[in-house]
Amino acid sequence: MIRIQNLSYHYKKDRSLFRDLDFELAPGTICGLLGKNGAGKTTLLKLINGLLFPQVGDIDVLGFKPSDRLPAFRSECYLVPEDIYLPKMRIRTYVKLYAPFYPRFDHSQFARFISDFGLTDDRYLHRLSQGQKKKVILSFGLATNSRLLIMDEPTNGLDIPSKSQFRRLLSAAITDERSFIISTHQVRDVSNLIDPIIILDGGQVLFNESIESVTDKLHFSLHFREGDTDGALYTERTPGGYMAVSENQHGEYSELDLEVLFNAVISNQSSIRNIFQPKPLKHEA
Amino acid sequence: MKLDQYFNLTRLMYVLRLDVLANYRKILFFGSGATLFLGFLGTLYAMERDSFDFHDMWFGLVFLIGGTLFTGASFAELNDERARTQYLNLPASSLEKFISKWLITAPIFVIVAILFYWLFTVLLAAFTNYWFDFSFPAFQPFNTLNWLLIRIYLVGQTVFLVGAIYFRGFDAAKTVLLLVLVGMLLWLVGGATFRIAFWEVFDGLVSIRPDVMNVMNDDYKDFITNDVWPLLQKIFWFGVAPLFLVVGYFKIKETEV
Repeated sequence: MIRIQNLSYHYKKDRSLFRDLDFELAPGTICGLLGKNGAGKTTLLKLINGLLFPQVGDIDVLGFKPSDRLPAFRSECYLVPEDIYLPKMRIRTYVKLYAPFYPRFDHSQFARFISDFGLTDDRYLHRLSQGQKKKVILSFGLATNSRLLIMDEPTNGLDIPSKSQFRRLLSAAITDERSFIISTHQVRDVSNLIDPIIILDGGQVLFNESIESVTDKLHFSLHFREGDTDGALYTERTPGGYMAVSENQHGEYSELDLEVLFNAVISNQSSIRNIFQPKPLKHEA
Repeated sequence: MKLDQYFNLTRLMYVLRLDVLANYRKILFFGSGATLFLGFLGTLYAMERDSFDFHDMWFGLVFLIGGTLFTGASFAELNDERARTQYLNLPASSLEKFISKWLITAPIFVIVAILFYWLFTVLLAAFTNYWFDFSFPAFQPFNTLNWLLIRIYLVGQTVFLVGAIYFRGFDAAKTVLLLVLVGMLLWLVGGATFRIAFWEVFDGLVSIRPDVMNVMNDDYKDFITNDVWPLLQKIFWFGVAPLFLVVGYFKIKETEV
């Protein structure tokens, strides 16, 4: 669905943000894009969406070159930005004006989504709060039935019930032909939703693994004493004790903590890379 | 690649509908301001019982200034990053987006301005007739002067359309400033070239000899009158607008967030 090869990009006068970045994403996934502030998450989303043009390298999204900005691509790749601009009009007018650009837009789905979010289509967009605007745009994006839905910090501004609603809607909307990309710092909001997890750091994709692969290879455990975490790849103090990440040598199942995983990947890059590197096949003598 | 991905009439109509709805407030705002201004002037003229050149002068002025400001504000979406993201994300081609803006600011604006001014003159005539027993002559939208103004506007507004895409904020003012600077530069370069090429007609560094017409070769005169001047006119009427429309299209195509 998405293939990026040797991507290099830098803003004017800035040092290189991406250098020879490679990345692939299969259809039918809800991909979580994580990274520190300034890691380039939003920039990468804009490059995938064709809002920025790569200086070096190739980006292929759904068989299109995003920088061509062809209408067929635009209607299949919907972006929910972090900061939303909406014109001064009622929700129903907005839908009437913008929905015709999306060939598979489903009006009944949209009505259901905004109703689930507690909104009615007679509301004026410019009088809505930022969170409510986000609900409208998320509902619109899902109702376009575009094959790729890109969301930048989608849960920012959403109240607690709406975050659950958001997760429910996304889980129900994903199909084998669609993919969602969620870039976020609010990892707990999407922890049971995203698979695979992609972590950006230092201009590279540092980590790109499925949840199954992570829980197969890493073990997350809570300890009451720091001494019990010896040999762990990463340890951090939590209100209940010490959370440790270690190599899962005995195939034990443990519940993945995204925040701890992120910190572990960032702080112990080489060990994590070794664990996830494909192991050479053992040949029998 | 299918041509449909670059131009589709149905999609253009959708974009145009969006642009009309996004811009009708601006047109109402300009229209209200112009009505107040022209109504005030009309009343003054009626009190003085003077209708001389009222339409020729004020229609042209309001039409050109209003059109320039309206065109300068036509790509307001590009001045704000959030609105720019929304605009560039719209599933329409760059050509359709650009044509829609041109239609709004050129032919549609001309038609709306003429209709508006005609309606205004009808109301003004009724008002001044009733209060001052004085009538203005009927407005002739396509008399020689107005037709020339419309043609000048259709050429000149393409420059402001490109300015609206290029600049971020105060687009019309920045375009005027740039035009003044370019004009000064051309004047300097042109003047220097003329000074070097036609050195014999100068008396000192910049003063032209009083007997210049005698000194100047007849071939020069013919060249200026029959070749250069018509060429400059042709460039203005047929070259400027297409050039700036092409530049504007590529500029919108290359615009990033």
